[in-house]
Amino acid sequence: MKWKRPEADDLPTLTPMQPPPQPSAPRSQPPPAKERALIGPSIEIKGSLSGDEDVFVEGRVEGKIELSQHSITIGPRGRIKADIRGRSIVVMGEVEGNLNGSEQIILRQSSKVRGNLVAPRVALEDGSDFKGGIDMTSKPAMESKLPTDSAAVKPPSQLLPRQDKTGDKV
Amino acid sequence: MTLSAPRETQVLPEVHKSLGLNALLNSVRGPRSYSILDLGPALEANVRFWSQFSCWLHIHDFYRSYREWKAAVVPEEKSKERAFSALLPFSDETVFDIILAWDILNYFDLRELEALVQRLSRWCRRGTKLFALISSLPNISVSPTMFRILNREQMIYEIPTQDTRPCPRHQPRDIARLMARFTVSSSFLLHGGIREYVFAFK
Repeated sequence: MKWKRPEADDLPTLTPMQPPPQPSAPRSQPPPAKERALIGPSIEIKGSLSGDEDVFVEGRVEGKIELSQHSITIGPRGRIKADIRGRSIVVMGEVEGNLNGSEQIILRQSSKVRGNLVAPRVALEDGSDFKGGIDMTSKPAMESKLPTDSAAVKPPSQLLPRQDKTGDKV
Repeated sequence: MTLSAPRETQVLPEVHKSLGLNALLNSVRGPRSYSILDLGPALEANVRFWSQFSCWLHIHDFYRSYREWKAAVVPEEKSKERAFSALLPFSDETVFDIILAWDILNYFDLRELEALVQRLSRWCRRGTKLFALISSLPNISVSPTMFRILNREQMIYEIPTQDTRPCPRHQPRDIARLMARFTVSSSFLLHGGIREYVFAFK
């Protein structure tokens, strides 16, 4: 397989919804931002995709994608039938498989995903077509995603007895 | 509060108080993890809201899936039981603590609802809560409303279109028969002929 390195201008600008969390300890050799491989729209991979740099997928991958220390972006034309494991996973195209991000997973508006999401932080934009499960059982997810609205985190009031009441539109 | 309508919405979203949601959330407490089945579409606000709890959130956009299934399958193969098995493919070991049905019960006839409730009951245990809004209005929107949770007692109703269809207006006796394996934990009559129900599995 030949990997085509993208020109800087070819790549869409990715705007994270939230700033990435600060790592607890600096990594020994963080990969430079320019080191991102592109799998173009005409490329089709069947098997396992792994490596040591960030990757932007616009083609088709069937099998497994594993770049545990790196960012994986599935572009709008990307069509994936594979489990994906990465540091940060951003989906704009279609994925059928489970996603496991050690830092975060972001499903963009254009994404279509069938599978389970496991990551400390999961963001899902309105319009994304997602069916599956989201694991929010880990402590970091709870801490990072607490709503800012104080009403949303106030302690629960007493259980209301069975009754009829009139709800108000506010 | 300023709200901006999403692109495809033709009716302005409205903020509503939800005593039913509040009652539902009173059962969500303590350090344990919860398993939640959301039969509505994936919405950013709801994922954000549930993330404050330790939970597995399963999103299944059931009405849209069912409509797509009906369009794709030839009539002689249209078995509701088969559809619901395919569209809700959870193992028998699965247990949900909360099922969010929103207003989709208004979009099925009683026979379909029986099959759906029977299917859902497989994954309920004693105390499982099912949240639903049932309308007694003559007409409802052609597609289910999207409910965005703002906080534990407020939701935004986002009606996708102004086009309407007749509402089946399920009668309380039909609901009671349909939900025979549940008790009504709470119910609240809202302005406009919609009733919020929190059912609890017996």
